[in-house]
Amino acid sequence: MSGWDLVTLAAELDQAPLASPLSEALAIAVIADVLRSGGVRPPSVAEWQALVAGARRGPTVLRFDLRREQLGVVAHALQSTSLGAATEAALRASPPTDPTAALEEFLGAVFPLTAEMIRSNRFRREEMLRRWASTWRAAIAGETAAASTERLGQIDYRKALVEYERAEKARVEEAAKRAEALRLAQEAEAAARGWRE
Amino acid sequence: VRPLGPPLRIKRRTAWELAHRPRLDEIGAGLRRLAAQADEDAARQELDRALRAAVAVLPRSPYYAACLRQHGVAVGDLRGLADLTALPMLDRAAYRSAWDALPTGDLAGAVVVKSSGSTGEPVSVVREPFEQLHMWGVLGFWLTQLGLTLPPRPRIVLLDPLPSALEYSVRVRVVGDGRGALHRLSLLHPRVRERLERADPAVIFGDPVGLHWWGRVRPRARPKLLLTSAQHFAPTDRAVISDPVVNYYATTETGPLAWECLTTAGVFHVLAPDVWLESVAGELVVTRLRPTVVPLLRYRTGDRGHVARHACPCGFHGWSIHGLDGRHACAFVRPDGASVDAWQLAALFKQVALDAFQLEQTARDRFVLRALPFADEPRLLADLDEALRRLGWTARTIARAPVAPPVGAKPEPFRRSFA
Repeated sequence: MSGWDLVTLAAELDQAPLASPLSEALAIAVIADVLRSGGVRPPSVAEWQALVAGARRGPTVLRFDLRREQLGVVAHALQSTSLGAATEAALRASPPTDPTAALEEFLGAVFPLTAEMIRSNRFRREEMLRRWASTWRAAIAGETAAASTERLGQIDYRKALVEYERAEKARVEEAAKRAEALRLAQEAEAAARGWRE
Repeated sequence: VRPLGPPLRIKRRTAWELAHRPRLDEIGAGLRRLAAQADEDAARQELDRALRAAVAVLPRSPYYAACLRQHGVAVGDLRGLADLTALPMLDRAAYRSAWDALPTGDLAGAVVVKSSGSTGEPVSVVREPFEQLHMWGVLGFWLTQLGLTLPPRPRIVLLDPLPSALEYSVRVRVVGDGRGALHRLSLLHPRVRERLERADPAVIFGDPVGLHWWGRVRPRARPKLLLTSAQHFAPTDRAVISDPVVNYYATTETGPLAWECLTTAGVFHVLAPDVWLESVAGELVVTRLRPTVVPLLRYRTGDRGHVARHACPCGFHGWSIHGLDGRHACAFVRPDGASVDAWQLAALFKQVALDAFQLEQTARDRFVLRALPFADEPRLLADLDEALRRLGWTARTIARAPVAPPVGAKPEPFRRSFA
C-alpha cells in the first residue's frame, strides 16, 4: 500500500529544525505555491486574510492567534522536506473542491497546537502531519484508512484539552478537601515498617 | 537509651491492613509472573498495559496535569513504554518542591514521610495506605521465588544499628498466616542478642551493619531470610552469613526497585511490573507502574547503572541493573581503628531543614559539618555528638563550617579525608 511515509517525514523534519518563524506572507506564499504546483487554485488574498483571522467560526482568541504560527510550521515543512512533493501528488490525485474550506478544516483541527509543541513533541508533530494528510485525502503508508482514523483519534490533542479542563475543574472544586487531607497526612501516625529504603 | 531526634508516632492499630491483603497478594503474583516470563514481547505487552493504566489518572495530579499541558502531551499518546520519552524527567529537586502537587486524589489514611536525607535534601513523600504495606507484598514474592515458606505466627525483626535507638513491636496481619509480629530491635540497647533469640524471627530486615553484627555474634536463631538495603552490601559480607540474604535497592520516593541476584553478584533484578527502569545517560530513571495515588513517571534516582534484559542462571527472566552505583560508601574510623558505616548518621539529618550538607571526618576524633546556617543547628549538633559517642567515639570534636558543601555529580554527604 503506498502513501505518506510518516517516519521518513518526521526524520526529515528533525533534520530541518525551524530556526526562526516564517512571516505570514512567506508562509502563505509557500503554501499557495504548493497548491498551484498540485493543480489547485489557492485561496484569494481575502480568503487568506479570513483564514488567518479565523473569521469563519470559533470563539477563542488563542485559537486564531495560533494560526499564523501553524501556517508557518506547515510552510516550513513543505519547503524543507518531502512533504511539499507528497502534498502536490495528493492534490493531483484527489483535487479538493474547495481548497479554502479544506484549509479552514485543517486549521480547525490543529487549533491547540503551537509551533513549539510540534517542534518538541513527536506526537504533536505526527498529529499535524496526519491532519495535513487527512485534509488532502492522502493515505498513510502501511495503514488502512480505518487504522489512520483510529490513530488520529488516539493522538487528538483537542480531546486531551477537554479532559484536562474537566480534571482542572474537579481539582479546583476539591482543592480545600485536598489541602485538608494533606495536612492530616503530615500529622498522621506513620505505619510501623520493618524495612529500610 | 534516649532516642535521638523528635518522637515518632507509630500506628499500632493494624486491623486496617487486612483490607489490602488481596492486593498485596496480587503484587506478589505479578512479580512472579513477570520473573517467569521468558517471552520479551509478552512481558512488554503487560508493562504497556500497566503504563496505560498508570497514566490514565495523570490529569488528576496537579503537577502532572501542568506538565502534560506544558509539553503538549495527551494521555492517549502514552500507549507503551517506548512513548515515555515524550515526558520530561522529574528530578529530586522538582519532587522536593512539588511533592504535595503529585497526588491524584484520595488521600484518606495517607501519611507524609521524609526521605532519609542521605543527599542532604530530605524529600516529603505522600504514602497512601497501600503503599505503606507494599513491601510486604514484595517480601511474599521473594519468599516464593526462593522456595521459602513462613512458619505459623511469623516474627519479623528489623535489626537496627541507627543511633536513634528506636524500638517498637506491632502486629503484622498481612504476612504469612496473618498472625505475625514485627519487632524493631536496636543494636544500641542492651541484651539485643538474647531478645533476638527469644523472638526467633523468620525474617530479618537490616542493613550491612546489622548483618555484620549478625555474622559476628551468630545468635542462636535460624531465620528463613535476611534482607538488607540502604548501603553497599559486598559479596564478602554475604559470604559470612549462611542464611539466604536478599540485598534490595529502594528509595523512599519510589519504594523497592530491584534485588541483587543470589547467583550472580552485582546483578539487580528489576521488580517489574511494579516499576520500569530506564538508564538515561547512565542514570537510573524510574517509572512506577503499579496504580498509586502518587504517580511517578521518569523519576531520576541520581544512581547510576545500565538496564538490560536477560535470562539469568538463577531462573529469573526480565530486566536487570548492571553496574549499580548508588550512594558512595563511606566508613568513618574510630580511635580504636574500627570502621563504622557513616550512613548510620543519615537519619539524624532528615529531621532538620537543610538544603545540603557534608560531614567529613578529618582525623580519628575530629569531624567537620559543612552546611549553610540552618534552624535547629544546636539540636542537630547535640544529636550528632551523642550519636558518635554511642558509636564508639569516647572523645570527639565536631567543627562547624557555615559554607555550602562542594557540588559534584552526586552529593557526597559523608566523607573521610584521612587514610
